[in-house]
Amino acid sequence: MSGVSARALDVVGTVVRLGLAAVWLVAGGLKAADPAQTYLAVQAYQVLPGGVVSSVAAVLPFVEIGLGLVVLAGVGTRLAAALSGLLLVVFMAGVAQVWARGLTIDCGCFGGGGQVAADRTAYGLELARDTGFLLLAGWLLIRPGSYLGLDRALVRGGPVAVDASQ
Amino acid sequence: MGHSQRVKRAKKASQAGSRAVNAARRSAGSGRAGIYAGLAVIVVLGVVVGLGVWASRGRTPTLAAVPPVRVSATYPVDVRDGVVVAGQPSAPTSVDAYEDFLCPICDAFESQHASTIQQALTAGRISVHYHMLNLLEDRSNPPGYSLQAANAGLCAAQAGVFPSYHASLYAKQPQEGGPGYTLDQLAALGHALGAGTSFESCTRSGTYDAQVKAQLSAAENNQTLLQQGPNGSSFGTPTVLVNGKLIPVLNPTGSAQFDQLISPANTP
Repeated sequence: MSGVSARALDVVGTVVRLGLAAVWLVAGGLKAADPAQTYLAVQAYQVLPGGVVSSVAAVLPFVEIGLGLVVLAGVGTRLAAALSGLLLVVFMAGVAQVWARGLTIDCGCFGGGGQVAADRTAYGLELARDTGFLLLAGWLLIRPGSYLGLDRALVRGGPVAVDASQ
Repeated sequence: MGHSQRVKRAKKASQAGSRAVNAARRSAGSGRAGIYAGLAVIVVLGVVVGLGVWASRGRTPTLAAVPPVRVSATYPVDVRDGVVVAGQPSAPTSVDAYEDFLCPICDAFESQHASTIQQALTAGRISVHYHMLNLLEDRSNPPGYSLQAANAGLCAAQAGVFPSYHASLYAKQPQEGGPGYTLDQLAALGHALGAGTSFESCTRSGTYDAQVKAQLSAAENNQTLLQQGPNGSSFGTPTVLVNGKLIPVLNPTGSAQFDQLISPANTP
């Protein structure tokens, strides 16, 4: 990474962080706005027992919104990135198993979801998109540094900020 | 160790410390600040999920009571093997309607054709076999509305209020993925429409549940009911037959054909 200044990488990190935050906030917001549709979307994966579908559908939108807020605030970026990546891997596993079993659903990633006609499935595209999001999370996990986040303010103001050079 | 060496070493240590602090600044992933940040993540997530779930519970209450729709029917209604048979036995044309009270396109079919069907029933041109099925039993939250409603429909036929009961359940149809009408509401609707006391126990005890399920599996295994869809041929609701022949009522041509088949012009 020599030759690329830390400042430039921080700018990239900022764009990546705000991008990932937007993904979670939009995805969670659309799901929270239509709980009935979210229930159908979760059910369509046919992995969870009946009673659990309802709970997952109720909680999931707010987990996404919560992650979005945390990533947006830039607090605990590394942990938030790890949790984001974990959730994305779970989603991708869900889509992959549906694809492998030959079910025909919309992933319901950004609202919508549920069963669709066979010619309306887009598993490849959905997985590719999630892979893109996973790369965003991966960047922040490896290099969480960015501007406009609370992590730096915390470090400066917090007890760790004893500069040995002074 | 000479003096200059010691200074050098101290300087080196100081540089290393400064590098470490800079690294910590960049990531906030280490030290006490990192722990605070991690706690903040957990707390924010917990609060957002807690508040969100709590708020949306309050926002999606159970449905309001079923609005009673009164249909004045002068034709006989009978129950045979889990099927409601409406209309004069002498009617020249027979219609079979396979429906689910939770299915949105059944609602669309009903709202488009219910008045034509009522006229044809009243005029004695047709008899209608209503096969009310639990195809979408798991599509309500909590699951089960399809079966409860189908059973209640059969109970309503037994109680002599079927045409009104059937129309009422489609008047403000519950949404797929959302709550269905409760057993209390299904029972209250029968009461509002003048069903006798046995209606409520019939509805609550699921008297016709087994027959509804049997009807569904019979329909799913009946080759003449399969329709070619984008997922290959399969059974779905609504499926409508006129004199045993499948009419694709969901497309405009089939819909017009259905109206024509039960119209006075088509009756000998």
